[in-house]
Amino acid sequence: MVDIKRAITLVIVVLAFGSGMYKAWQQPGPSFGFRLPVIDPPAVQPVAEKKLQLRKKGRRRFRRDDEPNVTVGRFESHFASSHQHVQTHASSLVELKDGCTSDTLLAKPADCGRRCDAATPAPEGSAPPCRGRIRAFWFSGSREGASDVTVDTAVFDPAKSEWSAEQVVASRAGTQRSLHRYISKLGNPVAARAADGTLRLFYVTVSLGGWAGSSITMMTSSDDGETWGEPRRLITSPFINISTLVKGTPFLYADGSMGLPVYHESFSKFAEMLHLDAVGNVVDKQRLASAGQGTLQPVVLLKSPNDALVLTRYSGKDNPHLARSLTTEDGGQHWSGVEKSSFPNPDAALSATALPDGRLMAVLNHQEQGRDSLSLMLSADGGVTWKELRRLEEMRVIRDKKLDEAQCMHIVQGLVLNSDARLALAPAAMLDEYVDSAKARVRADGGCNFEFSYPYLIQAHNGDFHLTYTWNRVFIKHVTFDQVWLNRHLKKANNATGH
Amino acid sequence: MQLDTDLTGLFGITLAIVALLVRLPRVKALPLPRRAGMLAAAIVVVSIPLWGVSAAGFVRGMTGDLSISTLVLLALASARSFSGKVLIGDQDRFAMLTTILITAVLFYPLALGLGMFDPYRLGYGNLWFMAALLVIAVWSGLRYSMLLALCIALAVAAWSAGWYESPNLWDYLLDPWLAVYALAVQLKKGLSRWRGNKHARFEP
Repeated sequence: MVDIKRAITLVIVVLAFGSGMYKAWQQPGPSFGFRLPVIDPPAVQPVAEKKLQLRKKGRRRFRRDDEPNVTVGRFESHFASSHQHVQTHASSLVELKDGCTSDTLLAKPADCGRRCDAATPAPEGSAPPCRGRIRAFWFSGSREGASDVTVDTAVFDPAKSEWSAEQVVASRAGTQRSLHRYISKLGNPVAARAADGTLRLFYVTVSLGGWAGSSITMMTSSDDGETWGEPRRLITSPFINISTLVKGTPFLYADGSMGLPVYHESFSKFAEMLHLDAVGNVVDKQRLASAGQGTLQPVVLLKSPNDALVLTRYSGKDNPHLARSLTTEDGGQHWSGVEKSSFPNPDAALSATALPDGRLMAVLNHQEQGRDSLSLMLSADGGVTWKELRRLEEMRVIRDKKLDEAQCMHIVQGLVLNSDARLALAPAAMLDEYVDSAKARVRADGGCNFEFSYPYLIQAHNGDFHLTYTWNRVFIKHVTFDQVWLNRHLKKANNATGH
Repeated sequence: MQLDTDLTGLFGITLAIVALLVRLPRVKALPLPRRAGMLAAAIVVVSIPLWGVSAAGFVRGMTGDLSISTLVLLALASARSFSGKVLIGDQDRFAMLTTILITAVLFYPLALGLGMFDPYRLGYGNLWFMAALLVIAVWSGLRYSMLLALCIALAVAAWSAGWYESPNLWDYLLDPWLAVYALAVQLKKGLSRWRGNKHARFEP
């Protein structure tokens, strides 16, 4: 009897491993080597050498950036979110296909390199230029981690220079229903375009505990985000599938599979890379750093089909508090050890992208503590040294000043108006609503505290840059600028440093 | 596909709830037909969605999907409660749980960030890992624990069939609840042994 049992067991073993081995054999392994995004900008206008005129107006001298005979480029900012009296956070961006074919928007083969696009004329009858519309995602609700938090989306149309009204993409209840399991809250959303042209939205969901208990849920849209398929859970961790979060921009490997930079938070914090196949199944997971190295929210900058730089938020205790970096030279198959980068990081998210000419651009809180300033940085040497191109937000100057409510709200009103020019023309009641929404957060502890965090930077197909970030946790602010503006600021920065 | 893996996930949780119910003394005392009726009713109750999620779905949110090894143990425990028959001997079961505990002690710290080697990565269809498992399963089936061999084989079969939403073989072999159970069984056995030794020492 015992021998029969043993024989049956062994037969089951043989059959099971036969099917298992077959599946493992048939399953294509992860492929490495990066597919670079296609950036096809129009010819850049030369920046006028002429010195800007200074006009006198009364006693004040001021510089007009809109001087008609000077090419200054385009730099605009808006609020992407419009809901009042809610908390918003963690935005991400993706360019819509619009007039582009999915091929032009997506990428080119790994052996092409970025520059061959500019040299290769578009074939006759090819798709019209892309409209360059951008879709943003973020989460909002009564407070971070509340059960009423939803993942929202809106679309920016550069032609109209305005954002559409926001819509809910995912809610806690809807996600719970689709995933057939309890969900207590939603978090960071990150969107990406898959190789087949569909949009994928990855967002954080938590069933138990805080953010350390997070898992990633994925949805797919085949109509650029107008409608979405059923959410599905990605299984990424052996411990109750908890503690994998998203923040960084996904990218494509040469074979069209997707790289999703993620990070682990429970027990210890470290960066990881998920490798998703054409239909979104996880086929591989790489550890970028070990526990204790404090690397969070990795951002991947693709420099060439084989070279990439990863920058991470630093959540450790070492001083000086510097962001961390690591590199690959074989298309992501192997990663270097973690090193200190050259810029400070106050345990806050950063965002970065590689430009077609090899320069790297980053947006981050360029400070060791606090999140009350935000800087646009550029590196021309592959990320070794960085130069601040522009201080996008700066509120450190008032950090230690004891401002009363009226003074603080005056500053808030100024910032609101600077952030979105159309509010200057809007009815006073609308501006008051924006200021009042911001007050709840800025004056939360009776002081006058500002936060500009969680940047997300992309370069659109037409070469324009789009940046969104959390503005005092009440709005998502969008900043867009073109290459002319960038080159002008680079020239100014070079002049300032004597180069 | 998605619905299938949700069904299998919820099935595992429901099986766990049923297996726990049948071990309650009051339920054990019921005659077989009433016990079966009660358990059928329990299955229906835990499967009905209330406020958007069923009781099984609520538990699933907290526990994740249970490994195939856990399901095998739960199924054996339920069968034992119903039929009174011992399909797998205690020694075999204990050997299997010892292996599970040793594996969990080695696996979880590494998989949760200790060092740069992540054994969880091997679960995405690594052929060497699969070959090593085959050797362990055959050896275990012949010499060590048939239950361990059966659990490994069924886990591999379920993984190749895409039984759960996880594409990783480790999630079919092992889960933290099984590791905790294996630890509890070891502690209980150790405690009994210690008590036995203590009594033996004081015996005249």
